[in-house]
Amino acid sequence: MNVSELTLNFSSGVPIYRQIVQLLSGKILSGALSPGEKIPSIRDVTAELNVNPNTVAKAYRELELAGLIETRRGMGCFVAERDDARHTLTDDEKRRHLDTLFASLVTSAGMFGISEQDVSDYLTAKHAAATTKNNK
Amino acid sequence: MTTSNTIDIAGAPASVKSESSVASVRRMLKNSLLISIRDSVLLKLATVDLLLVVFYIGLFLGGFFLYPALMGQPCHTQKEFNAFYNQQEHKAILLAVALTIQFLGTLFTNFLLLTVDSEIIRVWNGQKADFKRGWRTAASHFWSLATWSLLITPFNFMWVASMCIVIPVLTRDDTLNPFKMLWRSVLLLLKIWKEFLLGIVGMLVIVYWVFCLVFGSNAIFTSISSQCPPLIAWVLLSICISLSLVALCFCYLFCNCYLCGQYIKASEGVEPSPENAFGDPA
Repeated sequence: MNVSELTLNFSSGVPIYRQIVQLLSGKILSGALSPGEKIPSIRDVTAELNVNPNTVAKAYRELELAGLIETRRGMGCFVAERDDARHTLTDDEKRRHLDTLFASLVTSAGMFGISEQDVSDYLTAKHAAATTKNNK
Repeated sequence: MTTSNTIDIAGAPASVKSESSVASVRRMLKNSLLISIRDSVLLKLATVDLLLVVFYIGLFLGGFFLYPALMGQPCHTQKEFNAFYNQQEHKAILLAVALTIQFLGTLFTNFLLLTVDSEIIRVWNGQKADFKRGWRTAASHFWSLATWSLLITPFNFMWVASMCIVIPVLTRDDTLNPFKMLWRSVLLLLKIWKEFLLGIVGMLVIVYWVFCLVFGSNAIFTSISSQCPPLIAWVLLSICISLSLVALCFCYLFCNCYLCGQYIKASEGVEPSPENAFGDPA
């Protein structure tokens, strides 16, 4: 995987470490990055994207805590060796990902003056509509 | 599975938020001082920038005094200057010239500020400062700087906003809409407003002590020089002026280092440190 595949948006209002977590977890969970594949080093990401090493380190730490990547001493970071990361996520890991996604959604909505309550109401309405559709 | 209601809307990591703001500000101020002392390239860049600003002000003041002479009415006293600039036919030209000069001055200052800020951010990110790269970065943001300068030209006090919040944001956010620029900067500022205000107090205290030290040594040098032969007095006075200039540049760099550090913290969600993740010095 190349660093150029990580495109960050500095004007979105979403913290950069969260954007890195979202981008990499999205790629891992969608299967774009296969288990055992090497991901760019902190040094490469820092130099290429001009972000702070602490930021990239924090993003990688979060991904490691979520069990999506693993650090091999002296070799770098790799996508965790799992058959299907999507199905083996624990409840805690799922909640962590949802927290990240929701926070990102709320932050982005805030940029357009949409409140957290509005986002919450919208999701509830969407869920209700989907449930009705499924029942039919 | 249930989702807990612990979403961090502002975006800063929980570890940063739960920590005392004062401790964070102290650490950032210490790190900013460290960068300002360690990085000679940044200090050179800041010195060149300040000298250019002084040169521009000199040009402006020189023009102000030379203009009557160029118009064939040399002025030697304050009264003559007032009389010349109060003439009706000169007022419109003068206003247009003053606004143009102010706009160019604002643009020039913002441009120089961006050269320093972009390199400070790189140093915070563990890279080495580069004199030429700073200028190239500023040149690549020229039109954004121009629109922002155009907006703030009529308001003198806006340079503070420019220095504190907008220019660091402009180093990585290229938009031609100055209102959008300001709005994004304000959104970022809201995330760290407490640390920002505490930091300003801290910066003022440090700048105060630096200048106390410089003025104290200048007073000693001046008193010694009054009792010395002219050559030694000249050397001592040169040292006084150099000390004052270095102090000014150092304070300018230090304040910008702190502001850029806060910008990184607000935009990336993690507190930066000059010792990067590999333990290398910045």
